[in-house]
Amino acid sequence: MFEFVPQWLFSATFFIALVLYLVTKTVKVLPYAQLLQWLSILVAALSLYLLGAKWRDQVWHDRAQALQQKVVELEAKSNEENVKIVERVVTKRDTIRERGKDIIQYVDRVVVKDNEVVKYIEHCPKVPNEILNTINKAATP
Amino acid sequence: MKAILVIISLLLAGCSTVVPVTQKFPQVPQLLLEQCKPLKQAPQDSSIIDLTKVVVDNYTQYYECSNLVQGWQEWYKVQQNIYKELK
Repeated sequence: MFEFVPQWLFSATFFIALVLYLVTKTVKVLPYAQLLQWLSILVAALSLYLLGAKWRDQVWHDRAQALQQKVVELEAKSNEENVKIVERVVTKRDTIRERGKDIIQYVDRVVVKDNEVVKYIEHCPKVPNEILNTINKAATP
Repeated sequence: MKAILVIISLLLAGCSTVVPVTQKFPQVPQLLLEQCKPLKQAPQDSSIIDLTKVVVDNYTQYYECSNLVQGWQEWYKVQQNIYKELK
Protein backbone atom coordinates (compact mmCIF):
# COMPACT_ATOMS: atom_id res chain seq x y z
CA MET A 1 0.00 0.00 0.00
CA PHE A 2 2.84 2.38 0.93
CA GLU A 3 5.32 0.89 -1.52
CA PHE A 4 5.82 4.14 -3.39
CA VAL A 5 6.06 6.41 -0.35
CA PRO A 6 9.73 7.05 0.49
CA GLN A 7 10.96 5.88 3.86
CA TRP A 8 12.41 9.27 4.78
CA LEU A 9 8.89 10.72 4.83
CA PHE A 10 7.91 8.51 7.78
CA SER A 11 11.19 9.33 9.56
CA ALA A 12 10.51 13.01 9.00
CA THR A 13 6.93 12.84 10.31
CA PHE A 14 8.17 10.88 13.32
CA PHE A 15 10.82 13.48 14.20
CA ILE A 16 8.41 16.35 13.57
CA ALA A 17 5.91 14.69 15.91
CA LEU A 18 8.65 14.14 18.49
CA VAL A 19 9.71 17.77 18.32
CA LEU A 20 6.07 18.88 18.53
CA TYR A 21 5.57 16.68 21.60
CA LEU A 22 8.65 18.16 23.30
CA VAL A 23 7.50 21.67 22.42
CA THR A 24 4.07 21.05 23.92
CA LYS A 25 5.77 19.73 27.05
CA THR A 26 8.16 22.65 27.45
CA VAL A 27 6.30 25.69 26.08
CA LYS A 28 3.45 26.25 28.51
CA VAL A 29 1.75 29.17 26.74
CA LEU A 30 1.08 27.24 23.55
CA PRO A 31 -2.62 27.31 22.51
CA TYR A 32 -4.28 23.88 22.18
CA ALA A 33 -1.22 22.31 23.86
CA GLN A 34 -3.13 19.24 25.02
CA LEU A 35 -4.63 18.63 21.59
CA LEU A 36 -1.25 19.07 19.87
CA GLN A 37 0.35 16.72 22.38
CA TRP A 38 -2.14 13.92 21.60
CA LEU A 39 -1.84 14.66 17.93
CA SER A 40 1.95 14.39 18.08
CA ILE A 41 1.73 11.05 19.94
CA LEU A 42 -0.69 9.77 17.33
CA VAL A 43 1.47 10.89 14.42
CA ALA A 44 4.64 9.51 16.08
CA ALA A 45 2.94 6.15 16.65
CA LEU A 46 1.63 6.00 13.10
CA SER A 47 5.02 7.00 11.68
CA LEU A 48 6.78 4.33 13.74
CA TYR A 49 4.27 1.72 12.59
CA LEU A 50 4.75 2.64 8.94
CA LEU A 51 8.54 2.80 9.34
CA GLY A 52 8.45 -0.73 10.75
CA ALA A 53 6.25 -1.86 7.87
CA LYS A 54 8.70 -0.40 5.36
CA TRP A 55 11.69 -2.02 7.01
CA ARG A 56 9.93 -5.34 7.20
CA ASP A 57 8.84 -5.15 3.59
CA GLN A 58 12.40 -4.37 2.59
CA VAL A 59 13.69 -7.43 4.48
CA TRP A 60 11.12 -9.70 2.82
CA HIS A 61 11.77 -8.14 -0.54
CA ASP A 62 15.52 -8.79 -0.20
CA ARG A 63 14.89 -12.39 0.88
CA ALA A 64 12.49 -12.98 -2.01
CA GLN A 65 14.96 -11.50 -4.47
CA ALA A 66 17.75 -13.73 -3.17
CA LEU A 67 15.46 -16.74 -3.42
CA GLN A 68 14.34 -15.79 -6.94
CA GLN A 69 17.99 -15.47 -7.93
CA LYS A 70 18.65 -18.95 -6.57
CA VAL A 71 15.62 -20.29 -8.49
CA VAL A 72 17.06 -18.88 -11.72
CA GLU A 73 20.48 -20.45 -10.96
CA LEU A 74 18.89 -23.81 -10.16
CA GLU A 75 16.80 -23.71 -13.33
CA ALA A 76 20.01 -23.31 -15.31
CA LYS A 77 21.56 -26.20 -13.36
CA SER A 78 18.46 -28.29 -14.02
CA ASN A 79 18.79 -27.66 -17.76
CA GLU A 80 22.49 -28.60 -17.66
CA GLU A 81 21.65 -31.84 -15.88
CA ASN A 82 18.92 -32.55 -18.45
CA VAL A 83 21.49 -32.28 -21.24
CA LYS A 84 23.77 -34.75 -19.41
CA ILE A 85 20.88 -37.19 -18.87
CA VAL A 86 19.86 -36.98 -22.54
CA GLU A 87 23.47 -37.63 -23.60
CA ARG A 88 23.68 -40.71 -21.37
CA VAL A 89 20.29 -42.06 -22.53
CA VAL A 90 21.13 -41.50 -26.21
CA THR A 91 24.56 -43.15 -25.87
CA LYS A 92 23.08 -46.17 -24.15
CA ARG A 93 20.16 -46.37 -26.63
CA ASP A 94 22.59 -46.34 -29.57
CA THR A 95 24.65 -49.09 -27.95
CA ILE A 96 21.53 -51.21 -27.40
CA ARG A 97 20.37 -50.71 -31.01
CA GLU A 98 23.83 -51.48 -32.34
CA ARG A 99 23.99 -54.65 -30.28
CA GLY A 100 20.54 -55.73 -31.54
CA LYS A 101 21.62 -55.18 -35.16
CA ASP A 102 24.86 -57.09 -34.56
CA ILE A 103 22.98 -60.08 -33.19
CA ILE A 104 20.53 -60.07 -36.12
CA GLN A 105 23.51 -59.94 -38.51
CA TYR A 106 25.10 -62.78 -36.56
CA VAL A 107 21.90 -64.82 -37.02
CA ASP A 108 21.93 -64.11 -40.78
CA ARG A 109 25.64 -64.78 -41.23
CA VAL A 110 26.44 -67.55 -38.76
CA VAL A 111 23.40 -69.15 -37.17
CA VAL A 112 21.62 -69.95 -40.48
CA LYS A 113 24.73 -71.78 -41.68
CA ASP A 114 25.25 -73.77 -38.52
CA ASN A 115 24.98 -77.50 -39.30
CA GLU A 116 22.75 -78.28 -36.39
CA VAL A 117 20.41 -75.41 -37.31
CA VAL A 118 20.35 -76.42 -40.97
CA LYS A 119 19.43 -79.97 -39.98
CA TYR A 120 16.77 -78.70 -37.63
CA ILE A 121 15.20 -76.50 -40.35
CA GLU A 122 15.24 -79.37 -42.84
CA HIS A 123 13.48 -81.54 -40.35
CA CYS A 124 11.15 -78.82 -39.08
CA PRO A 125 10.92 -75.85 -41.54
CA LYS A 126 8.15 -74.00 -39.69
CA VAL A 127 7.50 -73.41 -36.04
CA PRO A 128 4.07 -74.78 -35.11
CA ASN A 129 1.44 -72.03 -35.08
CA GLU A 130 0.38 -72.97 -31.58
CA ILE A 131 3.83 -72.02 -30.29
CA LEU A 132 3.88 -68.80 -32.35
CA ASN A 133 0.44 -67.82 -31.07
CA THR A 134 1.54 -68.40 -27.48
CA ILE A 135 4.65 -66.29 -27.94
CA ASN A 136 2.61 -63.55 -29.66
CA LYS A 137 0.08 -63.61 -26.86
CA ALA A 138 2.87 -62.99 -24.35
CA ALA A 139 4.14 -60.09 -26.47
CA THR A 140 0.70 -58.44 -26.43
CA PRO A 141 -0.08 -56.19 -23.44
CA MET B 1 9.80 3.87 30.01
CA LYS B 2 9.45 0.08 29.59
CA ALA B 3 5.93 0.53 28.30
CA ILE B 4 7.15 3.06 25.76
CA LEU B 5 9.85 0.64 24.57
CA VAL B 6 7.29 -2.16 24.21
CA ILE B 7 4.91 0.11 22.31
CA ILE B 8 7.73 1.28 20.01
CA SER B 9 8.77 -2.35 19.34
CA LEU B 10 5.19 -3.36 18.56
CA LEU B 11 4.70 -0.41 16.28
CA LEU B 12 7.97 -1.05 14.47
CA ALA B 13 6.83 -4.63 13.78
CA GLY B 14 4.51 -3.01 11.24
CA CYS B 15 2.75 -5.02 8.60
CA SER B 16 4.21 -6.74 5.58
CA THR B 17 3.22 -7.63 2.09
CA VAL B 18 3.99 -11.04 0.63
CA VAL B 19 6.53 -11.04 -2.22
CA PRO B 20 5.93 -14.15 -4.33
CA VAL B 21 8.79 -16.29 -5.61
CA THR B 22 7.87 -18.18 -8.75
CA GLN B 23 9.45 -21.54 -9.43
CA LYS B 24 8.65 -23.27 -12.70
CA PHE B 25 8.09 -27.02 -12.90
CA PRO B 26 11.36 -28.52 -14.19
CA GLN B 27 11.45 -29.25 -17.89
CA VAL B 28 11.57 -32.89 -18.92
CA PRO B 29 13.79 -33.74 -21.90
CA GLN B 30 11.67 -34.53 -24.96
CA LEU B 31 13.54 -37.81 -25.39
CA LEU B 32 12.17 -39.17 -22.11
CA LEU B 33 8.63 -38.43 -23.24
CA GLU B 34 8.92 -40.90 -26.11
CA GLN B 35 6.65 -43.91 -25.74
CA CYS B 36 8.01 -47.44 -25.63
CA LYS B 37 7.35 -49.22 -28.92
CA PRO B 38 5.11 -52.29 -28.83
CA LEU B 39 6.80 -55.69 -29.00
CA LYS B 40 6.98 -57.39 -32.38
CA GLN B 41 4.77 -60.35 -33.21
CA ALA B 42 6.09 -63.44 -34.95
CA PRO B 43 4.32 -63.95 -38.31
CA GLN B 44 2.41 -67.17 -38.89
CA ASP B 45 4.43 -70.01 -40.48
CA SER B 46 7.68 -68.49 -39.25
CA SER B 47 10.85 -70.52 -39.27
CA ILE B 48 12.96 -70.87 -36.17
CA ILE B 49 15.31 -68.24 -37.65
CA ASP B 50 12.48 -65.72 -38.09
CA LEU B 51 11.33 -66.42 -34.58
CA THR B 52 14.85 -65.88 -33.24
CA LYS B 53 15.02 -62.49 -35.00
CA VAL B 54 11.69 -61.43 -33.51
CA VAL B 55 12.87 -62.47 -30.05
CA VAL B 56 16.15 -60.54 -30.51
CA ASP B 57 14.20 -57.46 -31.69
CA ASN B 58 11.92 -57.68 -28.69
CA TYR B 59 14.84 -57.95 -26.29
CA THR B 60 16.34 -54.86 -27.93
CA GLN B 61 12.98 -53.13 -27.56
CA TYR B 62 12.88 -54.05 -23.88
CA TYR B 63 16.36 -52.69 -23.20
CA GLU B 64 15.55 -49.48 -25.05
CA CYS B 65 12.45 -49.01 -22.93
CA SER B 66 14.35 -49.91 -19.76
CA ASN B 67 16.92 -47.28 -20.73
CA LEU B 68 14.15 -44.67 -20.92
CA VAL B 69 12.84 -45.66 -17.49
CA GLN B 70 16.35 -45.39 -16.05
CA GLY B 71 16.58 -41.94 -17.65
CA TRP B 72 13.33 -40.95 -15.89
CA GLN B 73 14.58 -42.27 -12.56
CA GLU B 74 17.84 -40.37 -12.93
CA TRP B 75 15.96 -37.22 -13.97
CA TYR B 76 13.73 -37.49 -10.91
CA LYS B 77 16.67 -37.94 -8.49
CA VAL B 78 18.60 -35.04 -10.03
CA GLN B 79 15.58 -32.71 -9.97
CA GLN B 80 14.78 -33.72 -6.40
CA ASN B 81 18.33 -32.87 -5.30
CA ILE B 82 18.13 -29.54 -7.10
CA TYR B 83 14.78 -28.80 -5.43
CA LYS B 84 16.26 -29.66 -2.02
CA GLU B 85 18.99 -27.07 -2.59
CA LEU B 86 16.28 -24.40 -2.65
CA LYS B 87 14.96 -25.32 0.80
